[in-house]
Amino acid sequence: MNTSQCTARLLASAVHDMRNVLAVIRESAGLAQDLAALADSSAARNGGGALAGKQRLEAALAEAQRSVGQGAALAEAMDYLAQSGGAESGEHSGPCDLARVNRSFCLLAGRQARAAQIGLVSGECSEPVWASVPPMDVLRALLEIFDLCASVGGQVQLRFTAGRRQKEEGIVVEVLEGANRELALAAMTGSPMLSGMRPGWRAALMPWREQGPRFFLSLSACDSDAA
Amino acid sequence: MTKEDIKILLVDDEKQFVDTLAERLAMRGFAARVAYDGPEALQAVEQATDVIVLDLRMPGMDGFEVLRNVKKSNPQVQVIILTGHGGDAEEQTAYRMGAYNFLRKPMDIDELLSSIRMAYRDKLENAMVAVSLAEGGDFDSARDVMNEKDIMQDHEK
Repeated sequence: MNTSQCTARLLASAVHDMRNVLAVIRESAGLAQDLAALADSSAARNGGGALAGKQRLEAALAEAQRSVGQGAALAEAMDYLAQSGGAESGEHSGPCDLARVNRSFCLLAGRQARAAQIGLVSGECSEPVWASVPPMDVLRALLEIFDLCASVGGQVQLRFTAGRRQKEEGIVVEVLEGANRELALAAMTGSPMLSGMRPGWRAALMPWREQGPRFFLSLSACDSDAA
Repeated sequence: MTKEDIKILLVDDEKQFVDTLAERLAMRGFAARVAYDGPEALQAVEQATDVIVLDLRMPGMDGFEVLRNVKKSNPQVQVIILTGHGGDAEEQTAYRMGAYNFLRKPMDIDELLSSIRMAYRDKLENAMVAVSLAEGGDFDSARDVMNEKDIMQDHEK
C-alpha cells in the first residue's frame, strides 16, 4: 500500500463520516427551526404539546452541538493526515506521538470500520508516546492490520494503545471481542511482517503472549534492501 | 392524491439522522417508516411501499444489495439513494441498477421531498400505462412497464 492509497482510503472514510455528521447537524437544526415555527400555535392549542416540543427542540440542539464536536474531531484528524503526508515528502519525518496517530486513525477509518463491522478503539494514554517514525507509515501499518481483520470477515473489536516494550516505542494491538476474534488473531499471528511499508521502514506485528492475546506493533528504520 | 398517501421507507444505519429525518417528514404530513439495516429494509418492503430512501454503505448488507433485491421482488417500488459516500462510480452503478435518483448528504429536505414526490408520480404513471396496455390486451408490455424490464436487463448484461 503506498502513501496515496493509504491517504485516499482514510480520507474517503473520513469524508463519508463528515457528510453524515453534517447531515445530522442539518436535520437537527432543521427540526429545531420546524419546532420553533410551530411553537406559538402549539402553545395556543395545547400546553403539554408545547412542553414536549420544547424538550424535543432542546434535544435537537444538543444533537447538533454533539455533531459539531464530532465534525471538529474529524476535521482535526484530516488535518493530521494532511500534515503527515506533507511530513513524509519533507526532510523531517519525526518524531510523532503514537497516541495521537492512534486517535487519528480510529477517527479517520471509523466509517470504513463500521461498514466492515470492526470496532476501533484508541487506548487511553496519560502522556504522549514519542517515536522516531513517520506518522504516515504508522497509519499504513494500522490500516494493514485493519485489512487483516476485514479479510477474515470483520466482526471484531480492535484496540490500539501506544506503549513500550523493552524500551522500544510501538503500539499494543488487542483483539478485544467479536464473532471472528479467533480468526483475526490467527491472521495476525500469521502475518508478522507487514508488507506495505516504504523502503527504509519495517513494521513487525509480534505476539506478546505473556500479556495475553495481544500483539506489539514495532516500527523501525532498516536498510532499504531488508524492508 | 394527498401527500399522506405516499408510503415512504427510510433506510440508513445512522440512527440519529434517519430518526430526525422521519420526524421532519412527519411534520410535513409524510409518514415514513424506518429501517436501520439491509435485512430490516427487505422485511419492511414486504409491506406496501412506494418510495425507498436508501443509504449505500451499511454494515452487513449494503445499499446496492438492498436495491438489487428490491428491484427483483418489487420492481415498481422507486428507490432514491441518499448517501454520504457519493462517488461517480457509485452513482452510475445505482442508476444502472434502477435507482430513481441519487442524492448526497447533507441534502435539503425540500430537495428530498421534491424527489420523493416525482418518484411517486412516476410510479403512478407507470401503473396507469400498464393498466392501459393490459386493457388493450398487450399483457407482455404491461408487465415490462411494471417490472422496469429494460433497466434490469441492462444491468444483468
